[in-house]
Amino acid sequence: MSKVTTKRLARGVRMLGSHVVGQLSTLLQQFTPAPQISTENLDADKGTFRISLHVPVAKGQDPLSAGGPTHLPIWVPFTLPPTQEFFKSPPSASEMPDIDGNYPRAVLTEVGFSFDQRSEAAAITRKAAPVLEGMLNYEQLGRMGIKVSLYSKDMSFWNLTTPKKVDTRLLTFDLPATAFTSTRFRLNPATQSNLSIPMDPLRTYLLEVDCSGLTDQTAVPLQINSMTISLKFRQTLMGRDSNYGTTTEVQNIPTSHKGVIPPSVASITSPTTASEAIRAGAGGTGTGIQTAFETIDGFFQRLLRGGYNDRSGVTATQQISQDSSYEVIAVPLFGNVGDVYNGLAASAPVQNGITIRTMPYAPGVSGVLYDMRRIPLRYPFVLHHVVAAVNWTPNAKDTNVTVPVDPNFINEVGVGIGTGRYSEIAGWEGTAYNTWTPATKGGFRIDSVNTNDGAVQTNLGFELMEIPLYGSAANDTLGTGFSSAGHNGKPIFMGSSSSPNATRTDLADGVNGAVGAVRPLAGKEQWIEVRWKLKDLTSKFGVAAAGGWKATDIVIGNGGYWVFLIGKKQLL
Amino acid sequence: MSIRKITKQQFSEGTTVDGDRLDKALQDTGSYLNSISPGDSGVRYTQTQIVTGWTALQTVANENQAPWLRFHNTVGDVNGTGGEIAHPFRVKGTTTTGLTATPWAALGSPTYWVWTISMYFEAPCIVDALDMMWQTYTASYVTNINPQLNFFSPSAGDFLGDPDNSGIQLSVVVDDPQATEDPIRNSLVTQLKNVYMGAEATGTDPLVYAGPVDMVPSGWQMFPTDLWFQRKNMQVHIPANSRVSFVVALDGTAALAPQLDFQSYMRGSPNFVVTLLEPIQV
Repeated sequence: MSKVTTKRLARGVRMLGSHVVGQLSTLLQQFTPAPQISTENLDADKGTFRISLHVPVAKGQDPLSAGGPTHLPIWVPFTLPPTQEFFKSPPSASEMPDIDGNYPRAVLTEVGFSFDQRSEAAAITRKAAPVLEGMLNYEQLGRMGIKVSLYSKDMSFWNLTTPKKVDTRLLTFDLPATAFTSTRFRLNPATQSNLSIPMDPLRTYLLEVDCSGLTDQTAVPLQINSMTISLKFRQTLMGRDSNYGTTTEVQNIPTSHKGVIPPSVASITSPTTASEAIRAGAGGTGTGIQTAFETIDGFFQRLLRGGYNDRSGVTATQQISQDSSYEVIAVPLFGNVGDVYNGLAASAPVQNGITIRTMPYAPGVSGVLYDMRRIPLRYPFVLHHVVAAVNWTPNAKDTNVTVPVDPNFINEVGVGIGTGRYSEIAGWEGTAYNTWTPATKGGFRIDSVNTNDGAVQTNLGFELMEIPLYGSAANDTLGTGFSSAGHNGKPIFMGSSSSPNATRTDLADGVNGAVGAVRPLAGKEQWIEVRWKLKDLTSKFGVAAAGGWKATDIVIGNGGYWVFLIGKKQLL
Repeated sequence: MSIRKITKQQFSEGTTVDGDRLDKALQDTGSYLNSISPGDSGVRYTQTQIVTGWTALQTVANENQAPWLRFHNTVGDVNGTGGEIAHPFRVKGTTTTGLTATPWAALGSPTYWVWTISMYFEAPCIVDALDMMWQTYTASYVTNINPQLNFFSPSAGDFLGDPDNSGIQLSVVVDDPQATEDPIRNSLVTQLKNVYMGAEATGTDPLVYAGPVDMVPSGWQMFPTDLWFQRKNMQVHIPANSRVSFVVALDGTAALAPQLDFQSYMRGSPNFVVTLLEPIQV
């Protein structure tokens, strides 16, 4: 996997077979028997990925003259850990973080921002009687100046003593209100391109979108609808995950190919007679000069191949050995509800937040609050890590809130694959799962930003949690990852398939679980499913009984929770 | 056959092959293998998926319907003074009942409601698939919204009960680069409407499929179901430096029952996924 070299033919030296045909045979080894066309050989050697974040609504607070607070920005934390083959165990005290030095770093190249203005040079109102939600307001458009920033901090997983606050600002750009006031041209959507900001896989990043004008001294509060931020990165391509040996290195991958690159069959035969004439076509005992060059040229005429198709299959032969790109799928959950508080009768909605009593699924009766997303598997994806972001951020600035410590408050996060659309079978298989209570969450937390674990806190508040992939030591399917207990499973292939690719390698049936005897999907997954369930079956989030709930307990922060699916996608 | 890619040298039987040409061909080949252009690869794209969605609240009542916004821009929709409606209709291709935009009233008033996601693409890309899902749990979620969003008992007037309805529309719109803010000059590159919705539900109806194996955490009382509109292999090419909007429109312009139904959709938890193919880079 490196650049090729060819020796010059020296004048006055007798030409041997090795000088021409021998060198061509060496070059042919780039294609067969072990394909070696890598990023060293490709001009376009970088894949791209996006962290696309959609926030349904960001709302201002009531006019400040009423005595209330102003509002906070929208924040979203994320991290870009290396894929499992580059991920090593966390360092012990006084050691430097341990990541393979060959890991290709992601580079931020573009930041896009947009929101819905109803195709008018107008701001959009928040409901504040008698003003309805979603109305056009032209005269308040001057308040819509927006600032987008990106910050970073060390992760506590890699640096136990790191403070819970960001320490570096990587990017800031302003979109003044005048960007949205023209009837002829508005910077909506806007993009900040030609960036070249290297990302550190050991750090937590925090995106901030600040529109301080949504709240005013006296005028109607405004809101931003359908806020979309898209961070585009580039990163050098990597090799794809495969099972070259008998051990399961990739779970659930089709056994028809196991990710192994199918080599081409081609050869160049050298002349065997020392005095044989150099011939163009096949002649004598060798291949011939023209034929030898054509053998290599033919690979390019037929175009080089790599990756998987949309049925998880491979072409008959492939040549590109590094055909995978880093991928992050950002999955929003609970996103449209503003900030949600506990259900204690004494808890009035905190500064235009809502209580859990008004959430769907009647959590005050059922004790359950739930959300899920489905991501269709158009093309295969290999899952390496799952990171969940828990949001404790209120909408109101400088308002006291607390993180719940009720012992019966349980979080459950699951990632699975499912089938059933136009299908004769229906079902799911889990691929990652974690559950925690306030008492146990510390064991799964890989970083936190400004959280105070039950004591009063204000403003920004996030925790990043590891969600281990299914895997078991018994089946040798334990991989590397954030799991402090060492139970992150090996990468898991996910992809729709046709019959030849339906038979899959083993998939553990739980975190530290054995290999499932029953494979309900039989390799026919159609989508990735992400579920997040909040439970308090005892005091029903404070509705049925006070339990350990406090009036200031926040359940879902403004902007909602996020789950990040991190892994590899292949060339198409 | 001839050598077409790796070098301009050709070698034929009966002609002179000198060392200079052989050397040139070898060097050309080495250089070519060290700098393979994207055009020599049959695989030049990777997929990108943009996932959106939220948990809708039970009650709407002229609040909390965001990010849904009215399709019609009328003077009745304006709060405060100043300004002038520039674009009464803002999504091309959406069926209208007339040329007069209907005024603002309560949520149930006849109008389309649209949810728009806009992005700027500096590099060209391909829209490969659109997936719009409404998710619910058969027994529980629907009891908390009124009217109910019931996928399995379509009734007359329901979106689901009308095979030719145009109640839900998905559009991909590219702004005209010379008139970015004029919706009339947008390019409507894709529109999905008149979808037979009864056939688009995910086949996980527990009434039909008894006992599918679930994952953890479990769903809610019954297995998760949803209404899923999918269009794939779309091959919609987006030029460089394009402003693109992905639009979901709900039709509330018809008679009473569909109006009630579209409110249910607004109160359901949507899940919209855009799949793009983006080229690899130098």
